[in-house]
Amino acid sequence: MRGDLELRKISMSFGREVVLKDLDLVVDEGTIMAVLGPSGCGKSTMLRIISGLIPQDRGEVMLGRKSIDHLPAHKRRMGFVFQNYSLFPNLSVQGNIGFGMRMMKKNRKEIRERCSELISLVGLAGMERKRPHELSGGQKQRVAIARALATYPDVLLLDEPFGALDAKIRKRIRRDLRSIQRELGTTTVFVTHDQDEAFEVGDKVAVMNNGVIEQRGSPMELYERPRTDFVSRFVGNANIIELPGTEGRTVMIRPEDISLRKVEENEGEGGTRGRLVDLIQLGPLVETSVLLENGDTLTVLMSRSEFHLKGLRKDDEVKVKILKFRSFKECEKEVAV
Amino acid sequence: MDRRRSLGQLTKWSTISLGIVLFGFLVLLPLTSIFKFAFQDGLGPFIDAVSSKEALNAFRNSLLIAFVTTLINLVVGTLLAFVITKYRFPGRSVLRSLIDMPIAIPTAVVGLSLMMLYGPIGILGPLLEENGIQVVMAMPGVLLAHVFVTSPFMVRSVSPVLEKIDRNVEEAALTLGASRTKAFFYVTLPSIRSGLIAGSALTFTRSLGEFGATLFIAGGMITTGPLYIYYLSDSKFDFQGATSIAIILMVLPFSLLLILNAIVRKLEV
Repeated sequence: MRGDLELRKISMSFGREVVLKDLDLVVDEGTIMAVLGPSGCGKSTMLRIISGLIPQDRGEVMLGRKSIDHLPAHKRRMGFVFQNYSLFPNLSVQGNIGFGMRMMKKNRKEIRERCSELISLVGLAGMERKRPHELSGGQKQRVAIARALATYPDVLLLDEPFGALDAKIRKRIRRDLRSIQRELGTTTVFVTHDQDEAFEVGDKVAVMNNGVIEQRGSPMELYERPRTDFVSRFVGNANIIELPGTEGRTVMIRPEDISLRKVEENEGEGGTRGRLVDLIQLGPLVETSVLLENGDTLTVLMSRSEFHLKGLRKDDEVKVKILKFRSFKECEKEVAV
Repeated sequence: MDRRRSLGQLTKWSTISLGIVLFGFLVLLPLTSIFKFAFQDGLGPFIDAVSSKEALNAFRNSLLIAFVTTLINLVVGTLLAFVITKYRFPGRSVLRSLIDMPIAIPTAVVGLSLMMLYGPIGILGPLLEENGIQVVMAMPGVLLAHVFVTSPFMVRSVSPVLEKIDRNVEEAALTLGASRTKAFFYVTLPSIRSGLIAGSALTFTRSLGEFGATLFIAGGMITTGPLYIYYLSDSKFDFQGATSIAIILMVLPFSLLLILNAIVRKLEV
């Protein structure tokens, strides 16, 4: 049974704490959905509900247009990869990967063949007999991924799988996960609080906050057309200010969508002015802070060459030109609070 | 500098010697004395004493009781360990302290309280007797006494291991197609086996040595190893026989404990 994975109006509370509120999400068959959100936004709870480990208070989990709510976790055919690996400590690498097939009563030969196939797929050849405590963090997580994929699950769920790994290994294993998923075409939900990770791994990204999905789209859509204040801030950097020259119209401006130039001598009044109060060198880019006359501070990003060409220095008076901005209703609400 | 160092060495070695001497005097010396009496007439009488019909009966009873006690506590103790580590409920901390209570209770009190419950003049005794169920002065009573006395050991050995278990490991088993029962037997149980073995070792050896509560409840109808020693020395003044039995009851549980502890250490790596 395959098909799109769909969450319909899922609600969940623990005691008085509401964790998910009428959450809707569709994950297209065969794609990776990266769910991006701060810790405590309910994304892990959502995964546990999808897998059947905990029952939701209200709403439906559907797979291929059929409700799977009646199925207990062990009958849902969903692979789950946990942040802390959670390998079986008493079993070898091979024993861990073969566990699901053993539960399905596959014969030994079949288990062994599938195991060696997966072990080479995740790049752990030669480690079959090792125990979990003999492996590094990255190797453990590779075992966990192989274990979850061994039984050809309908859906693969990953809960902050690389959070405990160091940056270099994380990048490698991220790419590997992407190519493994492409090869197998397993519908995947990947939960993370790291924007780079979500953008790199996800075909689509869903931004989650306070128990709801605020926006779902391709990484580019989310960056260029964020629908809420939260999304614009969580995905990339954003200036959220009152648009100069308007009365209380709050907008979102990306730092690279602003152009600065030095105020020339004997230049008349008019336009938006500010003072360049701070600058940070970010390798090829320069990030500057501009204090506007109305007291707002803008973050402006430009290339190093542009910065030098314009001869900008700290404490210069500058003229500010906004190339692109975006406004949304939610934003005004938030700012008003 | 040198003088200070040699002074430190002196302190170190005199403390060590003092410790060894005290331990030797208080623990090892009494134990070695039994060898003198057991072997006073050579090896022959020792072997006769430990292979007599009564002796073999006492050993058999002791081993059987210890074995069944351990089995009962494997189930009950593990269940209790689950209850106090896995679930949060009102009265949990009270239950936790109550579980340790048998360690602090004199064994005579255990025997007496079982008598007052199941004995001929006890609360339940007459009722049970009417229905043909004999508890005191029979195996069931002895087992109840032994389970009572040893009950904290299993709980205390299993709970810390259980607390360390990653809950996600069981959940991983569920998502891989294992039912809750299978997850328990394939994943949880193997992860706590070191605790189970350590708890069994303590329960088994403690049960082999149990004297006070057994004396009360057995009423001379069932003889265990320690009761047999008491009988030989107290009623028959056969000190050669008593010390011979004592050697067996000393060496057997101690070597068992050493072996099982070695296994536990290996499992914990």
